[in-house]
Amino acid sequence: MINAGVAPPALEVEDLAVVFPTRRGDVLAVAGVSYAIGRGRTLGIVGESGSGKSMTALAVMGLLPAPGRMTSGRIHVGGDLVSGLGEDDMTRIRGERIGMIFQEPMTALNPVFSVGAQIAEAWSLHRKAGRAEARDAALALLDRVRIPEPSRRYDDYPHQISGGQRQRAMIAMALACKPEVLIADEPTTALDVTIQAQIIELLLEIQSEMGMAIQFISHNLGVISEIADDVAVMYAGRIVEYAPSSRLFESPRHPYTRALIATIPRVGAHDTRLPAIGGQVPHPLALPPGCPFSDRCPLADDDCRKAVPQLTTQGDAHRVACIKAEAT
Amino acid sequence: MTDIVRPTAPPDGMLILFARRFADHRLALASLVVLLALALLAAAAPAAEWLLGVSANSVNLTIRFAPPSLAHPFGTDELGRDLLVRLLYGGRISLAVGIAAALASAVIGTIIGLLAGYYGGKLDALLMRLTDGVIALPLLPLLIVLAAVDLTKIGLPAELARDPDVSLYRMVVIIALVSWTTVARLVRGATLSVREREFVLAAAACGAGPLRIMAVHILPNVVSPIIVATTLSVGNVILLESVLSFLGLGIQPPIASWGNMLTGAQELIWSAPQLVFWPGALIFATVIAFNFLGDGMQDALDPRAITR
Repeated sequence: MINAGVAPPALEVEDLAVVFPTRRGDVLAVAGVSYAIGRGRTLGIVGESGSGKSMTALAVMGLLPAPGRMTSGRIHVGGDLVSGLGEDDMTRIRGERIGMIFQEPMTALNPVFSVGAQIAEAWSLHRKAGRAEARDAALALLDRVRIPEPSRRYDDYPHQISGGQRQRAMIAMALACKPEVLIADEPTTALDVTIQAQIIELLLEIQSEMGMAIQFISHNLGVISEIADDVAVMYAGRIVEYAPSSRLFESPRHPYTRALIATIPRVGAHDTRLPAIGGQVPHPLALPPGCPFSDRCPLADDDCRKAVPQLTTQGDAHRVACIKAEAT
Repeated sequence: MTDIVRPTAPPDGMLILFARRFADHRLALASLVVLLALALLAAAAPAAEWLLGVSANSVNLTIRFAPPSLAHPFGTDELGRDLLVRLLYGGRISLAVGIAAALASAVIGTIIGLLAGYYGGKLDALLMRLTDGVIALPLLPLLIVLAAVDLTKIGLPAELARDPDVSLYRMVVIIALVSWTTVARLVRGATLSVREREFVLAAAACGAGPLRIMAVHILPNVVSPIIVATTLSVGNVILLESVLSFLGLGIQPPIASWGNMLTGAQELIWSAPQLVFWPGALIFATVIAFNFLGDGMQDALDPRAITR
C-alpha cells in the first residue's frame, strides 16, 4: 500500500489479529484488520460493543489486557515497525508517538493527584526537565485545551472539576508529548451532547494545528460523521465496510452499515418508529458459518453461509466485505 | 436529625477531613494521647534517671524489693534497680522495636503485594504461596531458632555480634521477616482492584513504565490499608517482642525491655507482684491503644465505613 517516495501514513495496521484464550476455546476478538491513517487525517471506527474496536486500539498501543495477545499483524507508526517491540521500547513510544484518550474521564484521571500534576507528569515522562518547566508546560496545555483559569485549575483534583473539563485534561495529557497518532476510544460517550460537540471541535482544532492522525472509536455514527475523513465499520472482530466518510454515509453498501445508518434518529421524523437491527451480536465462540452477519441480515442466503466474505474494493477506495454488495 | 442545608463550603483538604473523622472516634483519640504520653515518658528516661539520681542498670543489693519511696517512686526490683527508670527505658526499647519492625514489615509487605497484584499470573502465584508458607510456619519455634542464630557464623564481625544493641536489631529483623504477610495480602488485594482502573491504563498510554505505575499511580491509592495494618501490627510486634524476651531470646539483659522485665520477675510473682504488674500493664495498655488507634484510622480513612 505504501508507494515509494510518498510519505508513509502516520499509522498503518496490517492484518491485525487478537486472540483471547478462554477455557471454552480461543476467542478471536480482532480477526485480520487492516487500515491506514495519513497525517492530519481521521479514521472513524464504528461498531457495537464487542466488535473489537477497543481491542484494535489497545493492540496498537501494546496494552492488550491479559490474557489477550496479538497472533498476527504488523503495526507501523510513521513508517517504523512498532509491533513486536520489547516492553521498554514500547514504553518509549507510548505517549511520545502514540497517545490515547479514554471513555470515562472520571476514572481515567488518578484521584489522588491534582489535574495539573498529572499533565505535568505526562509531559515530563519523555523529557529531562525540571519541575518548574513541567508546571509551565502543563499550564500551557491546560490553556490549549481551553480550560479557563489554568493557574487555578492546576491544583484542582479530578473530583472537583466537571466531566467535560476532565476530558479536556485527559486530552492535554495525551497531547503532552505531541504524538503523531492519537487514539480516542469513545472520548465523548460519557459526556452530554453539547459537551460532546465542544470536545470534537477541540480535537479537530488541535489536529489542524499539530497535524496528528486520529483514530476515533465510537458506536455513535452521528459523532463519527462529524469528525471522520474515513470510516471503518467493524462487526465481530472484522472490518465489514471501509470507505471515505461522505461515500459511506451517502451510499452504504454493507447491509449492516445500512441498518446502522437507518437507526440514526433524525430531527423531524416523529411519526415513524426507529428501526432496530434484529437479533444480537453473535457470541464470539458461536459465530454463524460464513459471514458473521448472516443470521441477522435480510439479504442472507445459503451462499453467505459458505465462507467469510473478504474485504474487496468496489470502485475507488470503497471496500466492502459482502458478497451481496454488488447486487444491490 | 434534620439540618438546614447550608451553602456548601469550599471542599476541605484530605488531611483536614481525615483529622475531623478521626477526632470523632473517641477511643482512638484517647489511645493516641496515651501513646504519645508513653512515647514522651520513654524519651524522657535519661531525664528521669538524672532527676532521681539513680541509674537504670546500677545494682544495689542492699535495697532489693524496696517499697515505693521518694527516691524510688515505684520501688526497686530483685537487684535493687529503680523500677520506674527501668520501665521507662524498657518502653523505649519496646516501642522502638515495635514501630521499627512494623515499618520494616510494611515495606516488605508493600513491595511483595504490589509486585504480586500488578504483574499477576505466575509471579502472583509464587509470591502468594510464599506468603501462605510464611503464615503457615509455626511462629514460635521459628523465632526461637532465628533468635539463636550465631551472628558470627553468617559473616558478621565478632565485635559487632557482641555489641549489646545487636539483640535489638536482630529482634527487628526477625519480627519483620515473619510479619509482613498481612500487609502483603492487603496490598495485593487493593492493587488488583486499582490496576483495573482506567487511570492506570491512561498512565501506561502516556508512556509510564511498570515501576513508575506501581510507585506513583497505584501506591498512593492503596496507602490506607497499609497505614491501618501497620498501626495494628505495632501492638502485635510489641507482644512478640515480649514473648521472645520472656523466653530469654529477645532483648538481652541488662538492657531493659518490658518483655525481659517480665522474665526477670516470673519467679517473684507471689513475693513481689508489682514487678510483674507494671511491665504487664504497660504492654497491655500499649497493645490495646495501638489497636484502637488502628480502628480509628480505618474509620477515618474509609468514608464508607459504618460509624458505630
